[in-house]
Amino acid sequence: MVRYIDPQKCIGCRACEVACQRVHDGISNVTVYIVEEAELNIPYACRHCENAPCVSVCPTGAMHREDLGAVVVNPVLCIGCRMCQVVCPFGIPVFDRKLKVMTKCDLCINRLKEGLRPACVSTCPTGATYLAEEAEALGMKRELGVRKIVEAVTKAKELGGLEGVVTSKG
Amino acid sequence: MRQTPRDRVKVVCPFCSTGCSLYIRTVNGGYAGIEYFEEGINEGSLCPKPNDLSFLNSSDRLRKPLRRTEYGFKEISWSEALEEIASRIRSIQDGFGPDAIAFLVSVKIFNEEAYTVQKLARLLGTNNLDHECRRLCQFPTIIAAKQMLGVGSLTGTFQDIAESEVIVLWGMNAAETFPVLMGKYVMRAKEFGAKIIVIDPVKTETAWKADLWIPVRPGTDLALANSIMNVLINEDLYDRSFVRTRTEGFEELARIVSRYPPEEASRITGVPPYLIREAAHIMASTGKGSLIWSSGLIHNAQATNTCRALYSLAALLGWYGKEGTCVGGFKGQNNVEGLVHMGVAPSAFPGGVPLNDEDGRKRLARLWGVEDLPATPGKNVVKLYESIDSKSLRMLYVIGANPAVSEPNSEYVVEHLKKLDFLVVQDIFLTETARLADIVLPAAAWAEKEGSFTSIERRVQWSFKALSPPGEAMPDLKIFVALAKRLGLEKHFPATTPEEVLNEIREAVPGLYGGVTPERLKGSPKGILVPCPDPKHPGTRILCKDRFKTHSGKLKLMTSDHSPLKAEEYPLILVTTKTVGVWLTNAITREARYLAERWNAPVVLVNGSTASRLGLSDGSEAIIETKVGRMKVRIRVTSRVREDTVVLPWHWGANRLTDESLRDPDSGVPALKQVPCKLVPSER
Repeated sequence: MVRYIDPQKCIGCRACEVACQRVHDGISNVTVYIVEEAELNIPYACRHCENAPCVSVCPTGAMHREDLGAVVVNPVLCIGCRMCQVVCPFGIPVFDRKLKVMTKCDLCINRLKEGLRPACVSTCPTGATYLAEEAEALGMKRELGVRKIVEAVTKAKELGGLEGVVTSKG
Repeated sequence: MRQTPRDRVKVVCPFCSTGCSLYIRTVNGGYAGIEYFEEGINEGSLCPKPNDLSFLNSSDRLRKPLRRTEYGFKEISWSEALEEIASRIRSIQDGFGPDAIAFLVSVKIFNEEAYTVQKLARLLGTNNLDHECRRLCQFPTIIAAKQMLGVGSLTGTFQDIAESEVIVLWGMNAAETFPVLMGKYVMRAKEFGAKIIVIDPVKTETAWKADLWIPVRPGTDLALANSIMNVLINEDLYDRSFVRTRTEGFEELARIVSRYPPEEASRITGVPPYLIREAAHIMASTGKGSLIWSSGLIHNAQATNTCRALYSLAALLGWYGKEGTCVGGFKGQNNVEGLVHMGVAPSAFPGGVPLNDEDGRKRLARLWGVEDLPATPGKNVVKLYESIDSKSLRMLYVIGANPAVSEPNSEYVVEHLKKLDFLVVQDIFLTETARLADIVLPAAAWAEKEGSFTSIERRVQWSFKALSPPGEAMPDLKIFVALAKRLGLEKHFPATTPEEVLNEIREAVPGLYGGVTPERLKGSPKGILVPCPDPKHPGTRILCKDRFKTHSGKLKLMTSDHSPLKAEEYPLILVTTKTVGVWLTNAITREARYLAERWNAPVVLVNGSTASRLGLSDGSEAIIETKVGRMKVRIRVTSRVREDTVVLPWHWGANRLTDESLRDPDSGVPALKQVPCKLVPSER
């Protein structure tokens, strides 16, 4: 399962931030950026990269991938060298001043193990943050795309102008 | 110590009126977070507020009854507190009559508690009974709806909003005020191709998701609604068959709206004519649509007339009586619909029975073991303060309300509360209002007791007890019953548990709640939609299916002319708004750390060109000045608002700026979103 985000659905309520903070002892690993010029809200969190630079660069093996796909810090092994912070292209890992170790989104690994979804996903009122298999996520997008083409072609037919031919390339 | 296995108990969210359910997790009987309940109408989702309920554990919770002394508050026993309240009630009743006492009731207490306290007030001989939501958010809608449709509730449900092909959100920023409704129902409709129209002077988060945003000048919605109707009639786009068979008063309506062609309305509303036409065309494209509004539409000086126009507009579109339609005003608090049904009102008994309906009144009187009930209308919230001046009101019993912050012109309100002979405040925290009280009673929070709430879509749901109250705090129901006993009214209150009271409610309001048994309610994860007259009845999704509840059975079309406020010396209009992470007067949410650290100070939204004209830059400080007050605020420069409008969340004391005298004449609702103001740079 992959956690996807759909900024077009996000209403900027920040429920994910509060939920994350509640289950992570006061630290929120997701931030909603409100971009007024674009009229978009972006829930921003770890991508749990397949080839995660943070895992490759970690000298102690603290940063590792769990079976369920989550890239997670083991605080016992972490030495706080911040190398993960240096290499992360998304600016995700942060230094936990209290525990003196790195910390980041763990995809709510404890919840996943209990069969629950990550807190940010469970709480999201709009489904802007959601958990899905790749095929399922793409299926949803493609269905929407198909519906839009149907609408466009129908409209074109109504107007009688176009011939209703849609090609994949010009 | 090892933790015991984590237990969880299902509750209904205590914040807005959407009616979301969730689990509260407990460890060793204490609050230990929440879990998502997937079978409710929210399908697990929650907005930020219930994600941090740590206010339940706050060390500031009230634990003991308090008495004001010259050295501050002193803890007293329940017995002393109740005895003092009972004896003051008796002496004020004897000296000045029962109408010298009034009850201001929380919109967050259970139906069973609301029913019990209104019964107590009435058995004391007064109808002085009101709740703030009536005057601050719902009354204009109810007046208009009762008059025109015969029922005051939403005509459809959230499901119908989701099935609509056009959704109009008018003065309603659902993304912040009803996030789950927005996410689960409005956005779902949009995904299936519905067109969304948002009418709001502010380009809100909700407007970002709209197909059409109409930036109306604050307080001119009536002219806009008239103009949309003008287009529908002029271009023959209205539902002729619905208008002919199910409405009356079309000729008069058509005559009035003929004065509002888009070009004329544009002058009043600041909305370009093409946008008015486009809105009308989109609305007229379907007979399956929803027209919903909220306090953005209500807080102006012609609120009731505006609601009338909106009910008429929906009628021209034929948006009544079928699935996929929902029309009405959204009231904010979680049990506001329930309080209306329970008769917490100065002018109606439970079930909306008018005070002068002798049969209905006597029937209730018999049920309560007396001969008759008071039939003279009580004082409403607006009249409360005037009657304190005239000494006709001596005692106020405030239950979970915070008028010192929520009512317009805070200074005026506080001054008046101080003049009372006796003020009792029952709450979970020592609020701004509680600090003025003679006796403070510690109440249990909703999760520390059980009972039913009725959400805005008329959905009754049971909320279970998850926790024990702190210290000696008691459920409101227990407090009312104990007080009734002290007053010697014990025999009229045979029902003392939530279940027993609900069964009495079923007798008192049979048409609505007859089939709402405690057992059935506890076993229904999504609750029951009222009206539900008998235990076999499935509940009612659509109101007014075949006929309206008016005398003729038809919807009475009504509208009126726009009447402008007289010009003031103030160049800008202040609109006070709500923020997603704060609840109303912030008495609860400021006690929840993760909410308080995000939403902690007001920022005023100012249009870029207005800001540069006034020499204000983003992040600078400025003073908002109105007829009644001044307030220092930080500026956020934005393109979200009109040039003539500034927007300020009210949770942090903005009511020191609002004017208690500027009100809608029909309902008494204050014009909190239409306050003439000016903005001046802050002196160093």
